[in-house]
Amino acid sequence: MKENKEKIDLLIEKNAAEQFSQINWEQLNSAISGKLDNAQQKESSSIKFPSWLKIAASIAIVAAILFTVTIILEKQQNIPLDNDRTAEVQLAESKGGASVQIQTTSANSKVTIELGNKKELAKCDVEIIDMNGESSAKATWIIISRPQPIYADNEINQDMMDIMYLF
Amino acid sequence: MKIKEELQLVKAAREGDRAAFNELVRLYQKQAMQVAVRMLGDAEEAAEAVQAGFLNAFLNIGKLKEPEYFKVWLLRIISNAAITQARATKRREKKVNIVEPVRKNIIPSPSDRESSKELKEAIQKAMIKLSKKEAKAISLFSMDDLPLKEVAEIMNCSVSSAKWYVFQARKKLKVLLKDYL
Repeated sequence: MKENKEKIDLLIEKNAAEQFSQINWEQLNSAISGKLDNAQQKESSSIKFPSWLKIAASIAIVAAILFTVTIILEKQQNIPLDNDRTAEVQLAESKGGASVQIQTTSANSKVTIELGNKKELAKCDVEIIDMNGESSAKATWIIISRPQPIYADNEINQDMMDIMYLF
Repeated sequence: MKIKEELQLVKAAREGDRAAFNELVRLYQKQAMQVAVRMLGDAEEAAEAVQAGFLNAFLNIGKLKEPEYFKVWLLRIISNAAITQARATKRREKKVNIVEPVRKNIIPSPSDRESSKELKEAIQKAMIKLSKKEAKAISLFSMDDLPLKEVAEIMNCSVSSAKWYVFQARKKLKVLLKDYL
C-alpha cells in the first residue's frame, strides 16, 4: 500500500517528522504515568459497593420509575366529547381526594368530580386538553358536586358556582 | 519484544498489573504519537490526545476480550482521542475567533523554520475540515508500519471502505493545501 503514496501523503509525513523531532519522550512518558496514577488514586479512594448492591439499587430505581409512570397514567383519562372529539383529563389529587366519573347522558360529555363529604376545601386541579387541537364552539363542562356545596349558605346559585366552564 | 511476551503483558495489565501497563505504554507510545501527530498536525496537541487515550485504555483494558487485538484496540482509542482533541481545538478557535483561511498566498520555503510552522497550522486546519473517518484513514494510511488491513480494523470498516476514505481525504486535502504542494 505504501508504494502508491502521493504528494499530499508526503506533505503530512513531512510535518509529522518535523513535529516528531520536538517530542520529549521522557516527559510524555511521565505525563502518562501521572495521569494513570491519578486515575488509580481516584479509583481506590472512591467507595466501592458490592455488585449485588448496585443491581438491587438499580432494580429499586427502575421499579420506582415504573410505579410513578403507572400512577401518572392511571390519573389520565380520555373523555369522549361531542362530534367524535376526545379530550384528556389529568387529575391531581390532594388531601380531600377526588374521583373522575365520565357521564354521557347528554350530547356534551361531562366529567364529574366527587370531592367526598369533608367540609374543608379539597384542592383538585383538572386540566382538559382538546386532543384534536381545535377550538371548540360548543361548551364542555366539568361538574364539581359536593353533598353540601360551600356556596349554598351565601345564597348564590350553587349550580352556577359548581360548574366550571372550560372551553 | 516477542508477540508472546506482549500478550503476557496485555493479560497481566488486564488483571490490573500497573507495571505491565506501563510497559505497554513504553512499547506503543511512539506509534500512538504517530497516529495523533498525523491527525492533529501538532506535537503538543497530539501529546494531550495520547495521554487521554492511554488513560482511557488503562481504565477499560479489563473489557478487552481478545488480548491479541490490543494494538488495534489501543490505536482505535488513540485515534478517537485525537478526534476529540481536534474538536476541542476547533471549539477554542471558534471562541476566540481566530480562524484563518487555510490557503495562503506565499509558497513557503521548506528549509525555513517559519514555513514549517505555517505548514503545521495549515495541516491542522485542513485536517479539522475532514470527516472523522477521512482524518483517521489518511493519518493511519500514511504510517509505514501499519498494514492496510490493520488500518481498516482500527477504523472498524472494510479494507475497500478504508481506501475510499483515503481517496476522499486526499481529494479534499489537495484543495485545502494546494499552495503547499
